[in-house]
Amino acid sequence: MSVTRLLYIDDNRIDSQIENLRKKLKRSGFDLDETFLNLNDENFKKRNENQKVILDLKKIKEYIIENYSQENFDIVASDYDYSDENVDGYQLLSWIKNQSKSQKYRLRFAQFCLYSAEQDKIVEKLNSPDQIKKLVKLKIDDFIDRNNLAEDLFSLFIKPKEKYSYSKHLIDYLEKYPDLTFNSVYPKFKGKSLSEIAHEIDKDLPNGIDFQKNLVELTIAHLVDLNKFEY
Amino acid sequence: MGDIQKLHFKTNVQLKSIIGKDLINDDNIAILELVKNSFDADAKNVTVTYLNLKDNDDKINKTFSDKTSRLIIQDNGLGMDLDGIQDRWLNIAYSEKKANKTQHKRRMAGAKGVGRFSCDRLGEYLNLYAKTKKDSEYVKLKIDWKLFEIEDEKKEIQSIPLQSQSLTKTELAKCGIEPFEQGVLLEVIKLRSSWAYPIKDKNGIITKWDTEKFVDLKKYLEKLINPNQAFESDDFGIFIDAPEFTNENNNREAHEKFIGKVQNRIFDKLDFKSTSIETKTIENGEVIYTELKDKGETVFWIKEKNPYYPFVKNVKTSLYYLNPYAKAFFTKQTGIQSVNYGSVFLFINGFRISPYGEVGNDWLGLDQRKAQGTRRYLGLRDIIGQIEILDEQNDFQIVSSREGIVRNDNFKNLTNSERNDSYFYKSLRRLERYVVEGLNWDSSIYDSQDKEDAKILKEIESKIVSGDIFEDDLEFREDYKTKQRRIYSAIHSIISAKTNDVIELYINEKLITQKIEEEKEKSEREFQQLIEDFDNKKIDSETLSRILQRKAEQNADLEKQINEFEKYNTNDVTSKAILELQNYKKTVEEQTVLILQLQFQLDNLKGEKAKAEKTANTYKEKAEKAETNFNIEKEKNLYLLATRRTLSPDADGLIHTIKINNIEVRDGLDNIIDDLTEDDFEVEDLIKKLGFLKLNAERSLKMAEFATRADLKEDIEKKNVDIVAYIKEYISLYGETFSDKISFKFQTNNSYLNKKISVLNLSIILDNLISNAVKWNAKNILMDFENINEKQLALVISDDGNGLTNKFLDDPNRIFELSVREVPPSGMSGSGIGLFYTKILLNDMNCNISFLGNNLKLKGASFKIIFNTI
Repeated sequence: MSVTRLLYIDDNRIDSQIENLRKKLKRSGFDLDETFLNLNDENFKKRNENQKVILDLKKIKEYIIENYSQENFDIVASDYDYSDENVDGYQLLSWIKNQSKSQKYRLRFAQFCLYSAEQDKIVEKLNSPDQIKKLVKLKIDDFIDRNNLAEDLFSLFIKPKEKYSYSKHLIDYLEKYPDLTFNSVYPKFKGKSLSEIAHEIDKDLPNGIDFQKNLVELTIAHLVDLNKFEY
Repeated sequence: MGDIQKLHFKTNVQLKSIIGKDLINDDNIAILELVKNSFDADAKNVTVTYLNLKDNDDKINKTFSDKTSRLIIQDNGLGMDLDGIQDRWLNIAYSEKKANKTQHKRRMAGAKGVGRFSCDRLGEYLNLYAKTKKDSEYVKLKIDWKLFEIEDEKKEIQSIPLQSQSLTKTELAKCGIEPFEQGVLLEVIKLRSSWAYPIKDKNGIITKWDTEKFVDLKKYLEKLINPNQAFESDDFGIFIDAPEFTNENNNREAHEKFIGKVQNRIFDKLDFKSTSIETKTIENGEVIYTELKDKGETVFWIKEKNPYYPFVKNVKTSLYYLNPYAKAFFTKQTGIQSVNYGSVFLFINGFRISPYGEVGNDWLGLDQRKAQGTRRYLGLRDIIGQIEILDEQNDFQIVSSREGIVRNDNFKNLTNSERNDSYFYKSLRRLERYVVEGLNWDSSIYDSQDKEDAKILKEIESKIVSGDIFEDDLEFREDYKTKQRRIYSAIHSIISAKTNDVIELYINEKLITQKIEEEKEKSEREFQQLIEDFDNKKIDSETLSRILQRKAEQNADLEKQINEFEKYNTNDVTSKAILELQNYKKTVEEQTVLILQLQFQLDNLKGEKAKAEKTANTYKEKAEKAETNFNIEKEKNLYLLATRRTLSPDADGLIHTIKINNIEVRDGLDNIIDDLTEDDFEVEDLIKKLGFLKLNAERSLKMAEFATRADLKEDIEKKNVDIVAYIKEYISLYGETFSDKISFKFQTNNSYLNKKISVLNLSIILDNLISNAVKWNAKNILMDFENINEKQLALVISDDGNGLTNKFLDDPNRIFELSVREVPPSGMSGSGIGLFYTKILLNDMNCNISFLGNNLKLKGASFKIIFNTI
């Protein structure tokens, strides 16, 4: 069974819905490996100047960078309403997405989606051209009604990926055997471990990019040769 | 001047023939008249039975015997006694219907009081048997119609003696009649018409019997039964029987079988295959309700003032348009082509009025009208349907089966074709506009002047009739979506209602939303592309102008659509769809502003700043104005929007929590059902899941309790509270609900802890601990608070109940495990969520619970909860 990985961010437990998702995926041949970032945890809170307990965005961000930035999640889903006056899911998710992209975190390959029990309330907030523009640019993969959370996350998981990432595929493969040593074909990498090479590719370093190009050229050359034999 | 002489009419004996066999010139009508009499006598059933048709002594016997041909019409109505027969049945032209329009809760069908002379038309002799429920004996009346057929100007009809006698049950049986509880039995003897003909070969041997006349009778009666309204409340059934012809009957096609119950099923399935319009009067006739359906789906309905009131006030018309396919389905179902069935029938009080609607009868002037404009109008062949009138005040008087009803003002208001100004034509025009005027979407792809196509169409039709083709296989000239779009663009001209007359209008919301969705999708794609292009500097001012131009056109078009709709009061669903339109219009306007800003940026670079700024401002103003208008519009339609808007902020907060809570419950139940269905579960796991569901149920109940007391504007899941104050307050409000014998004591020691906490869960925890104590016979509970430090609070809850049983004292923390349970002495059990879940809830809040021991502060158990905060 292939494993699908979900990171979900919420201030409530939604065990039943996750369980429901797990069952759906299992029937389609996937195992769900989920990670719950529970914002109800007091570690993510602080007191404001009026001694009221509120979410501490800084702590949350630090925690995410430390724990999740280099993880291969398929989907990052977040609730919209954290019952907090300062932070909401849209804000946090935008940050994660933009940060992952600019810092080239592994997390950037995930699909991002928001969910909410009251979508129409949010729509009201997105009521200016400026907001819409931001939303369009952010390109979130889905905006889900909490009522159908399991169903819709499931569809998102199993729908054919619109974007194929050659780099990601390569990295995933290399990381399956992180400790093996690279030998031939690309002299600059000779003697490096596969995980080191994966890192170069992941960070879009010059050698990483060059290596990928070489690999494509080699493969095609190889294919053409093979075809020659048949004639 | 002489003395005044008194003269009077005489009724000559020949009157019998005039109102009998000469007036009723058709066997089927004769039978119908008798059936109507049964209906008016409140019968539930009437049976028409033919006997001795194959083998009889009609030709050799001068009078009659047991072997003479017979027709028996028997009903289970009220029946008659001797007085009834004398005063009513024998009283020519007397009809109760003239006095009472309804009796026995029925609207009466006959009206002239001569129907009983139909018996004369049918046979030479009549034996009438009748019995009422209260009489024990039967009355028999014998009539030999020949006795009236003498030419003697002196002989009056009443001078012919008729024999009647009273019979006991046994005597009745001797006459060959089965005893019956109540009703009338007409035994018509020596039939005047041959109902079945023998067909002989050249040797004179009978090979088979021609039974067409029975089929005719059945079909005739079928048409007379109103398929919609007649008898629906009282279930009146007509049965035909001819025991000699069972084989002939069985060999016939289903729709030609003549033995059995007469039923009109003509419109049964037509709904789904054709376009139909139904128009009926509602609200005492002052309002007309019209609904147009296409293949079973409502396209629109409209309630409007009835301009024909009070002339037309209790009428319903149902019209079905038959395209070639529908005609073929009709044939398959009924065995006759629709042209040979008739067109629009008229029913008054449940019975059909001849000759309206019969083949070739153009009482509504349909064909006459069609002759003037072939393409624009529907003719007799294109529609079938009916007009039903419930006539309580005799507004529509029947003349005769040849003449129909009196052409008075009521009739005119119902049927006048001039300027289409009548109840019927108002309805028909909408159907016509829908199917005829340029909108030929419902035509088959082969429906054209082309000869080859016509041939193919014929083939398809015959396949439908033979049952080789089903509805889903049919091809139409336009696909569903195209058709929907066209309907949408023409809908207002189809409805064509006077704005002031419209009370409420519904237009299939799919028509509206489908169009918006398509456009929306396109426009969003376009817009995203635009922004991308702009970011990549791949766009010039000209392109932007072109897009702006298109947006402006789009906007104008939307404006027009909205204005069209705003003329009427629309139904809620339709209004919501219209709101979508307005919403979309707003999006278009916002996009326009954005594009203008982009253009402005571009133009700025080209030094055309001033000009563009000016335009941008005008548009912006326009957009702002539109925004204001939109908001006003939104206000106006508030009641249509989500009900949320009418809720108080309190209820809003509550609903948020209920929603989240109940989604968990639903999904949890789904999971359990799956587990059980797939037989993939462990009991412990199942108990755990059910426990969580119970917890959620408790939470819902708690919320309901809170609804009246708590401040729900803020989330009740996450609230900043002083734990000590909250618990005190909670118990003082709810403490008594656990038991009236329990009392609480607090020692607060000036402690205080502010924490953001789910007060819902905290309350459930308290409930649980308290109800546990009560179960174990506690009368007093002591709550002892103490700050451990400024971020920690300890609460010790002690009671004077039985305390923890010995078997747990060694390892008291086991009581927080899932499957551990003790039966309390008071016999109560099963409520609360259990200590397992209490602990889980507390841990979730970053708090802890432990068992301290028995007999510490009070003689029962003591629990300690530690609350932590930041």
